[in-house]
Amino acid sequence: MMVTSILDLFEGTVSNYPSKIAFQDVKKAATFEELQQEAKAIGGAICKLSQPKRPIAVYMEKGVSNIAAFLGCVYAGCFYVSIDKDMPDDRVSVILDCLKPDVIICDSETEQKAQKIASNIFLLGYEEASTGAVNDKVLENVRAGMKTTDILYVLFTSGSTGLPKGVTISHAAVLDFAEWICDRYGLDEHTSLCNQAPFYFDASVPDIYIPLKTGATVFIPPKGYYMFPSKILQFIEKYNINTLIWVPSALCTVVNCRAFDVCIPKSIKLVIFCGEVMPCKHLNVWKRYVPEALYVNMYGPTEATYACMYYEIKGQFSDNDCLPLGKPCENSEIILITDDNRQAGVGEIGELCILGQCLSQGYFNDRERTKEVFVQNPLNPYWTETMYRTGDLAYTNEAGDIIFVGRKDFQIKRLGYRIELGEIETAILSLKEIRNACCLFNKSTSEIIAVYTGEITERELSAGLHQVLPQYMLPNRYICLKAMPLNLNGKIDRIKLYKEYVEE
Amino acid sequence: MNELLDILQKINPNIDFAHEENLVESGQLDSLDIVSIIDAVQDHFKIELDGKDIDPDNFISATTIWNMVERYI
Repeated sequence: MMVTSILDLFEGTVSNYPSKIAFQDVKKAATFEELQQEAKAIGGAICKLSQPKRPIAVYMEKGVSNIAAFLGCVYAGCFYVSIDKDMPDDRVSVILDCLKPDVIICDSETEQKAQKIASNIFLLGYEEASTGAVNDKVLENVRAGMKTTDILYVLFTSGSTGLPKGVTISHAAVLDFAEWICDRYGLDEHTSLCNQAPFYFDASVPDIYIPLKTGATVFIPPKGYYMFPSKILQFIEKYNINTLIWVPSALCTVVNCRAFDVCIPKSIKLVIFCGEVMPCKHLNVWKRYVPEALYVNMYGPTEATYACMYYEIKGQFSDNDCLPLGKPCENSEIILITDDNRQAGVGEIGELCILGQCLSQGYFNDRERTKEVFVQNPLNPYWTETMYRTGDLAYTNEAGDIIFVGRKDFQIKRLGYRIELGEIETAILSLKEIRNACCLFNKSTSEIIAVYTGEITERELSAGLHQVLPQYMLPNRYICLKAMPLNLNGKIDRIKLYKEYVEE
Repeated sequence: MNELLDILQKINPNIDFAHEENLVESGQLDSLDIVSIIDAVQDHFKIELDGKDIDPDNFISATTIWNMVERYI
């Protein structure tokens, strides 16, 4: 049978492992068969309220039921957008204004908030919808019209201006990614994952689709466990979990809280991280306590479906080394494009551009911002070939690995020198007293401002940097914070820092 | 104890640390607060907490945090 949507993968797994647990949280565990039953019931309910190819918001407390709701949207031929119970009301409003969905699926935790924020949108209660009768005839009709280029989900990312963009991802892109990651790492029904990322964040895409393709099981720990990482390690040990696909900051918190003093789970065999730079200092602690695991640094913006590059860590890295982004995943292509639209040579810095089936279909209802970054490949004048410009700068080393340098927006010119703020940040982070750091550039005064957290005075930090950075790269000002502000996705909130320390 | 309250209040001014008796389960503290508290008390009291102490039981209230810190100084 031809594969036309992720439902074809899912149904293959349902028939292979009907009574195996697919997802499990503190309150509920669902087998693949139960998941399908609930999803079909929800799908039927949505069919009565919306049309195929329309967005459906899933506004619920995080848990197993989210997955059934997502799949329900897909059974209705629609695409889902995940909104978390704890998301600030303003952000929920921005997302709903952009999508204008016909239906919001909510639960008892979110129903009242949803009524307040979206009084004009139909609220479908999860409990009621998931226990309804399944009408296979209606679902089959919808199914006949589905194709892999249809949208599967929309994820909202913070734009550089602060106004979120809705990244559309097709079935084709997810099929492509799931096939690659499962094949590359031999993931199968014996794989067990410990979910860390929220479902409104791209970092959770592997946790959702690896089980649907392979029959793997995902354990969703109680929310508070990530506050006390020793609890997470005990949870991993208890359920014999072998695969972690986390953001680097979650791995760092385990180290910073010295959770390995309490528990060292022997079951972990594969650790994948993506989404931000993983400091080698923290990676080396993981390698010391869990040496048998394979560690993989992945790279990819939300617009390229979780990851389009990977680097498997085999050798030793010193604490202040920078991990390579590595090589493109199969069926993806990476080219580095210079300012004058040439392909960068070895060692030459260019903008990292992505091509392949992994790419998003652009930003929802935003042709302007889509056109800025989804462009024709400038190296190909012959046919239509879309390329995504990431805004990240990188170069290829002698070994053929791609090395991240910094953000294009963070590349600054000062005293005639071209400077990567990321390079200064890496230098600051390599000092052992530093926990987190971020550099800002004030264009009007040409000042570099270093904001950091850690047990080191501003004077000591300045002295330390004098040892490793040339004069023209040294920050003019140092600001020591008790805590680094983070955005919803757990990354440093640069917009907030700029407002606070640059626009004063 | 007053020194500790000053530190805590700076980390999150929106929490009434002097009276709150259920910091963790009430959901008022997040993981970032915990890491900040750990760093700040280690820094201020010149101590190094053991991983075993980074446990919800020690972060229920300012008093339980203080009891933990006192064991090190």
